[in-house]
This record gives sequence, structure tokens and C-alpha cells, in this order.
Amino acid sequence: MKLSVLRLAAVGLATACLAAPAMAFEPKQDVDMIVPSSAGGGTDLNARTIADIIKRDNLSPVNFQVINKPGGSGAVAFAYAATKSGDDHMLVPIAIGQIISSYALKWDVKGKDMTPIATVANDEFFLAAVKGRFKDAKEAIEAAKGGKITFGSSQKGNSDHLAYLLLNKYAKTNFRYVQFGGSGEVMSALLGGHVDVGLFNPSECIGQVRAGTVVPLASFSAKRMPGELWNQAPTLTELGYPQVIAAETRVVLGPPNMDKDAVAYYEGLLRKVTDTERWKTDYIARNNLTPMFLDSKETAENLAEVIDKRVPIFKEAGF
Amino acid sequence: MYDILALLAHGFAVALTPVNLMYATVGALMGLIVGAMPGIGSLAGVALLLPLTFRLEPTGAIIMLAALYYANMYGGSFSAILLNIPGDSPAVMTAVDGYKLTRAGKAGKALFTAIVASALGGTIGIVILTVMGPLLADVGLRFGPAEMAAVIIMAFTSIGWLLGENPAKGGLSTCLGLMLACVGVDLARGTSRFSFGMPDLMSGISFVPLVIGMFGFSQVMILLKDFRGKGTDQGLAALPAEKLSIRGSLLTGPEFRRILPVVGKSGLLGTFIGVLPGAGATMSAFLCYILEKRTGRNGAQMGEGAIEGVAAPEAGNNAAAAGTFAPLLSLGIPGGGTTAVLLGGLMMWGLTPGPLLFSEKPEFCWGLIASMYVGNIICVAVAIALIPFVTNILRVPVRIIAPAITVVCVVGSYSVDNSYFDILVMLAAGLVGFFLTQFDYPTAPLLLAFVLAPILERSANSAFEISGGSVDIFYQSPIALGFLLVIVAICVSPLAMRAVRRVRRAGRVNG
Repeated sequence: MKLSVLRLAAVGLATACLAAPAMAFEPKQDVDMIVPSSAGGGTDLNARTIADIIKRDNLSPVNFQVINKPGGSGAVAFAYAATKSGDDHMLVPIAIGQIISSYALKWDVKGKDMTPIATVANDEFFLAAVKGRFKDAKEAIEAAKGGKITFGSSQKGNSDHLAYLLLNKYAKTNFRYVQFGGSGEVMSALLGGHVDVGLFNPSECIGQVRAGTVVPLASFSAKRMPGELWNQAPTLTELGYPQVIAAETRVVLGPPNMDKDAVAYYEGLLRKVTDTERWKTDYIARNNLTPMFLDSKETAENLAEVIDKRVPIFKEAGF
Repeated sequence: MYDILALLAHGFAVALTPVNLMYATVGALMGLIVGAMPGIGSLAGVALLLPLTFRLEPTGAIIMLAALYYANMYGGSFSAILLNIPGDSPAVMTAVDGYKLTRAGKAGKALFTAIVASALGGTIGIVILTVMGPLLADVGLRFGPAEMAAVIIMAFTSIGWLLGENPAKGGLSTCLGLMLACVGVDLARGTSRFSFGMPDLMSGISFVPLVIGMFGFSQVMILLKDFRGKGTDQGLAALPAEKLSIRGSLLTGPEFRRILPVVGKSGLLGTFIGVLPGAGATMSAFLCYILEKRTGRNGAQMGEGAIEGVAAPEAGNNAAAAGTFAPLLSLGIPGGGTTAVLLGGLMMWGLTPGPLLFSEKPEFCWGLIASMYVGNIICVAVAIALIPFVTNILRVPVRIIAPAITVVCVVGSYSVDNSYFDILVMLAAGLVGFFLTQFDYPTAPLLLAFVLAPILERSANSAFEISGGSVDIFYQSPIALGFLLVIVAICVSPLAMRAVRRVRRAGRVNG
């Protein structure tokens, strides 16, 4: 997310040229896509879209089948992947929040044990409030220093929680974290006046934002999100808190110790998938995501940055 | 009012086109099947079908998926009544009286009651949705964490009425449910508790394998025990027989009059619970059953095989299924798991769920609402036609039906999360359920506690996070305060009544 679009494009072009020579690896059997959540969620949709595009555009000689292994908010899928160390016919599409959880919640198998393959999309975070509650983000941040402003979100030890901790630390606010069972419940509580602000992905609040009932106050990304609904909201970087960066990046991992050639193969395949028109219109645009592609090396760097620089904040917060 | 009728008429024009009628029928059929199969509930059914609908026109797609959702509530009662295995969690309460009716040779009657109650309860829900959907959604918003916590505490207080003849045994069973619900994520820390280092237990024990085991697998053991050494093996039909035909299943006039008030009450309560954030059809079925047991004329018979015990939860869960569409359509907020998946579907079909949906896509919203009226009629027709066929399952010899149910139990628990661990949960729950039943411990309070405890914990936790740890939040909210007063009344009224009776008796003796 810190990478500028230009640099991204340049890197993309360069690797596209490098990736041109014939691959040393070809899958010999069907590839399992282990989704660490139930059918119907965001990661499930991501995996099914990838599998569907590969099949319909004939991008691979084998089938990619989606298998849901929910449980432990991802720990079950990680534990399963760890038993398949070195398996070159298995992918784990995942949200970065679950990788963060593997550290914050101290799972046995952690994010760095897995093999990074690619980053395929970015789901941004917005701080939002009911229209008229706050004039702008600055007012909300000022008000939150008094310790009475509540911050609605779901779960603990994930990327929502990380965004909250970063905001409280660097903007010196004292928001009260209130966790709910899911973003729908957060929106209910926000509209019902039970919490003051909430953390949402664009797709979780677009209906309210379009109706004007909820206003996105600030974005947790490095750059403003395009589109007239979102580009009015300043980034927290603009507001003077460049350390406050968080998003629900969508990553594809392999099991531990995946073969280098296999990684290169899947990385190239995913690049082709994310280049298709269907991916851009039916997946990215409809779900209000931001296009993003990072190859295995960049994904590894990005994960290392999040894990080494931002995740320690959980410990600081006494978590 | 006239506006609504005009819009609804427009909706019927959409819903009654041949292609949309076909979608509703296909959805209803699939819902009945999915509902009757233990393990696969409406959530999994809708989630699996959703990707196939992305290329359909949105109105047709939602009509089909919504039909699948509410038809599921009908289907779930089939296996609950015939085999004591709820096909889906909202049918858990239906099994209690429904299966007792089957054992008394009244399977057809129980099925017919379930279908009629489902249809009427569902229709009440849809009428309320039609007339005051947006208003209802606003009422739902007033229920924040503190209010939800108060509602659940009230539900817990009323578990007492489910305990049966031996309150001590019922209480133990409730506690067992609470203990099982404690396994999983500790909300305050986000880490797991009582998981003993097993990743499979980190997010808790899954509800579906637990239900399948408690009811289904334990049922296999009970069947084998009951029918062993009887010589002839004619299946469950060896029980006092009735004519398993449509005619024999029809409700008589007096019976119909018995369930009408039940359906009315449950329909209203169920719709309301469906609207609440985080509650759903399962909770609705439980609460409607309890309400009827407490306030119904035939409450004392419930639990022993009364048609009211089938009508209340079935009307309640269908009404709740309709109720969840109020916040979904008018606010874009899902009330439960299945509607959350539908919400994802709306976006994939290129719609933006939210307050503008009704004005921007009236044909979609009103087409869906109108199709729910039509879909309910389709469900009733298909379900009633199925009665003579499904009741044949009672004639299957136990030596065939027992292994068949076992296979369904194993496959059903595995298929929820593709987890072998869930099969072990199912087997363990089956053993526990078998012994509980053998020693007259009721299993319904266990499951109710298991369903309610996590919602209570989450709501109470959020409420305390909002208030910064102060209990003020519970009595400063008028709604929460109201529910808490009701709880006090529930607890105090038996004591007060006893005291009044004693004073009166004393007065009579003295005077």
C-alpha cells in the first residue's frame, strides 16, 4: 500500500517481461484453494472468482477447487497448511487481517511460516460516522481525546483492531474500542446511535454513504480512494498521521516450503487473472475494492513490514 | 396505504412473470430439500447457489435465493417431525413435540400443522414487511448491545418454563449448554479459551454437528435400543398407525382453531425477532415456543406432543425469515448469516444495498416482496403434496433406516466446514444426548443455552465497552430498563402469587 501506483506499474512491467520464459513448473493434479472462512464471506468470494476465471479463460490445465476450512478465524486452515509443507498443489487465499491475527492471537502456525505468492486486491478502511455527528475527521479526533467517543468494529487481534490501535497511538486519541459480531452489526449500532464512529470497508458502507446517512470521515490508506463518494475523505496521512496505515489486503499464500518454481507459476497465473476484464469489472469494481498486484517478493516485503513494524503495537497496548 | 398497494401490484406483475415464477419454484424446491437434510442449512444452501446466479437477472436471482431461504424453514420440520432430527437449527424446537406426535401415530397431522403454521406465520411476516418494513427496520436499530443483552437475559429467565417435570435436571442441562458455549473466543482478549491448544476448538464448538449429534445420532441409538429383540422390524410405522394420506393429515376445524391464535402470536413475535440485529430464525423459534408454553391455553401439554408445540416454532421461524428482509432491503444491513450472504449477492448483481434501494430499484424490492407471497403458496402446495411420500420413511425397517440416518449424520456434520473434527463432535454429542434422554434430562434447554449464551456474551461485552465498564447503560436505556423490569416480574410473580394465595387462605380460615 505504501508503494506508489507508478512504482507498482513499473514493477509490474518489469516482472511481466521476466516472467515471459517458459515455466519449469506445471501443476499435475487439481489445485486445492483452502479458504480459511465459511462459504459466502469476502475471502470465499475472492477464491471462487479466481477459480472461476482460471477455468473460464482456460488459464491452467487443471481445476482449481475451493475448499472452505473455517475455524479459529483462520488458525484451522493455517494448521492444516502446515501439515502439507512442500505441497505444490495448494493455495491459501487469505485476508491480511488473519495473518495479523496469527501473531496478535499467538497461533501455533504464523504468517511467516507460509509461502507468500501474490497480493491480488486491496480493501480500504474508512472511519465513518452518521451525517452531522462530526463536522470532519479533525473534530472527531479532537473529541476522541476526551475518552468518551466509541469506535465500533468487529473482532480483536485483526486488521480492524490494528487500525484502531495505530490511530489511538499516533493521533493520541482515546477512542473506546467496541467490538461487534460483524460489520452489519456495527452499521446497525452506528445508525441507532449506540456508537459514535465505525470502521468500514467501502462495500460495507456504500449504501449508507450514497444515501447520505453516513459520511466517510477519513481513509486509512496512503492515497485517497478515487470516486466522488470516497475522494472527499482525507487520508490520515494528510491529516498528519502518516504512520496510521491499514487495509484489508487480499493475499494468496502457499503452504510452508513451497517450491520456488511453483511459486513463480502461481504468481504468473494470478497476475493473468487480475489482468482480465472480468476481474476488474465483476470483482474489483462491484465490491468497491482498489486494484492492487504485488508479486511474491513484494508481498513478502509488505508482510514483513506489517508484521515487524505494526503488529508489535498489540504488545504495547498490553494485548 | 394506497401507494403501497400500487407498488405491491407492480411487484406482483414482476413476480408473476413465467420466468420469475419458475425461479421461485426452483428455489422453493431446493429449499425444501436443503432444509430437510441435516447439516446443510439455508446459509450453506444460499452460499453454494449464489455463485451460479451471478449471470442471472438480479430480480430473478433474489427471488430464487429468498425462496430457498424461507422454503428451508418448511423443509427443516420434515426430518424433525418424522425422525427427531432437525434438518436445520430453527427446527430444533419443532422436533420436541413433532416427534412425540409421530410416536403417537400422528405424523401426518404434525407435518400438516407445521406446513400450515409455516405458511401463516410467514405470511404474517411478509404482510408486516410490506406495510411497515422501513419502520420496523428503524425499530430494530434502537436495539443496541445493552437492549439486546436485556432481551437475551429475559430469554434465559424464561428457560425455566422449558425445564419440564424435573427442574433440577433441566437446570443441569442448561448449565451443560452454557459450559459448551464457553469454549471458543474470549471476547475481552480475542484469544481462545478452553480450546486445550486445539485449533479446531479455537472458535468454539459448531452448532450444527452438536444438533445433529444430540438429536440425530442419539436417535439412532434410541431406535436400536427400542426395536432390539422385537422380532418383527416394520420401522417406526409399527407404532400405533394412522392413515398416512393427505386426508388423514388434514386438521379438523377445532384443531385449526387451536393453532390460529398460536400462529398469530408467534408470527408477530417472530417477525420482530427477525428484525433485531444478530438474532435470527433459531432464536425466534425458541422464544415463540416459550411464549406459547407460557401464555397458551394448551401450554401444559406442550412438550408431550401437542400441535401447538409444532405450530409455535414453525410460525416463528418463518416469520423471522421474512422479518430479516426488513433491515436488508431498507437499510442494507443483514440481520443474520443467510442475509449477509444475500447482501454479498446484491453487490455481485451490481446493486447497491442501502436506504436508496427501494427508490432506485422498486421493481427489484417489490418484485421480491410480492414473490414471497407467491413463493409461500408454492411451498405449501409442494410440501402438502409431499406428505404421503415422506411419511413412507416411517415404514422403512429400522435395520435400514438406522444405518441410513448414521450416514446422513456423518456426512451432514462433515459437510458444514469440511471438518473431520466436526464428525467427532457429532459422535460425542450423540453419546451425551443418548444418555441425557435415557435419564430424562431435556436436551432443548441445553441447545437453547448454547445458542443464546454467545449472543448474550457479545452484547453484554459490547455494552460494557460502550459504557466504559459502568452498568448505568442498562437502566439509562428505556428499552433495556423495560426488559429488565419484565425479568424482575417473571422472577417475582410466582413468589408473589404464592404469598397472595397464602394470605387469602389465611383470611378465609380466620374469617
